[in-house]
Amino acid sequence: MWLMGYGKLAVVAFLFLLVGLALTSAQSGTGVGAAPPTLAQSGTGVAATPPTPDQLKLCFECHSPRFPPNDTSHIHIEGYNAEGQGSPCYVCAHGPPPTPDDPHPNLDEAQTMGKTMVNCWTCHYAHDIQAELGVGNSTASPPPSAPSLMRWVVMVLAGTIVITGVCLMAVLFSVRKRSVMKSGK
Amino acid sequence: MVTVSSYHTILAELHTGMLVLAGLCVLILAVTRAVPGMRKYGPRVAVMLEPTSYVSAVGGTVVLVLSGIVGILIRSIDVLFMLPVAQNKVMFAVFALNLWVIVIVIRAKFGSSLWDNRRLATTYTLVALAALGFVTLAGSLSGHLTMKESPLDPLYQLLNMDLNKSLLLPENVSYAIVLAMVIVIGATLVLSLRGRKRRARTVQA
Repeated sequence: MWLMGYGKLAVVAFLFLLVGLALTSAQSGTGVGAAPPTLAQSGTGVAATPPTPDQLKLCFECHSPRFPPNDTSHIHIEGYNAEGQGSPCYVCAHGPPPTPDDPHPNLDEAQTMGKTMVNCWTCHYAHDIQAELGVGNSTASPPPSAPSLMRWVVMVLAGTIVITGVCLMAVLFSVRKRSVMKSGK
Repeated sequence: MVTVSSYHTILAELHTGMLVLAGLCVLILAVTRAVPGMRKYGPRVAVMLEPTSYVSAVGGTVVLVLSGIVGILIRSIDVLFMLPVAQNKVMFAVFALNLWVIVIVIRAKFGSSLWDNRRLATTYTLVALAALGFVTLAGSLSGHLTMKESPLDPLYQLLNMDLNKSLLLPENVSYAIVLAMVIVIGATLVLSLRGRKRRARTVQA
């Protein structure tokens, strides 16, 4: 890079921006890599995919791994155990932790509260207790869901390339002005 | 047994501290050069803060990379990216890393003499402050991930920002922004090259 002239540097900066444009256009639906969002990702429907055991490992408190689910070595679990409360649940912030084999008692409480769509504190997936437990009427809107990983990667890459291109251009023009000033023109 | 997340905490605090130091050094250097009443302190301040900003920027950037690697080790990518707030945090960290690398490249190429060129010094300062801003935002979102709150929450409320939602721009908007930037910068390049040719002809004549 150091050996390149500033003209070439400008071309590189411009190419950075062009690549950013290409990457962004790929996400516009006309290019490659744009997978359609699932119902859960689009935020318009119920999270259709149940969590796998691999996904059941985020701590409700700090989102650190807590796997396997019954692992009690996690600092926040210890803290709550020390208080004799057990792990807090997503509804009531106390009580025993739910496990995949043991439906949380507060799922019933959620039903009495009129909630039929609840967000699991462990996996953060939206659970439709109507579908899972056969109770209540599904009326609540699902929680916000994250865009797909591929879309995120492409958009962040495009943003990074644009930032780099703009900074390179700014440096280029700053340096060009200096050389003009030094030459007295 | 020491968990990996403990190392992530150490690395996060290390890179945040070093990068904040680097950003503050650059800011103070810029102020001592820009504010007339402060210029008399410029040389003395530069002796201390200029190398400090460079070293701490390099150190902080290296540790930022390590922190990211350890962060991925403790949370697999598919789990990490289930949360929009985690996506936003990593996005800000990537932008911060990008900008700090640019800061280091500028300083490595031009040396401390970059401060002699007012435009380049301004560019350098703005890039460093933007990088510091992204580090701050990433750290703030870490607070949201661990404690559900951050000291910047009043600011987010003021700006009506919801960090629990993805901050990615809609595809058509980002497409338009990148296209506009390509057109503007391309046109600037063309005009610049024309001006250069014109000056060359004038010198020859």
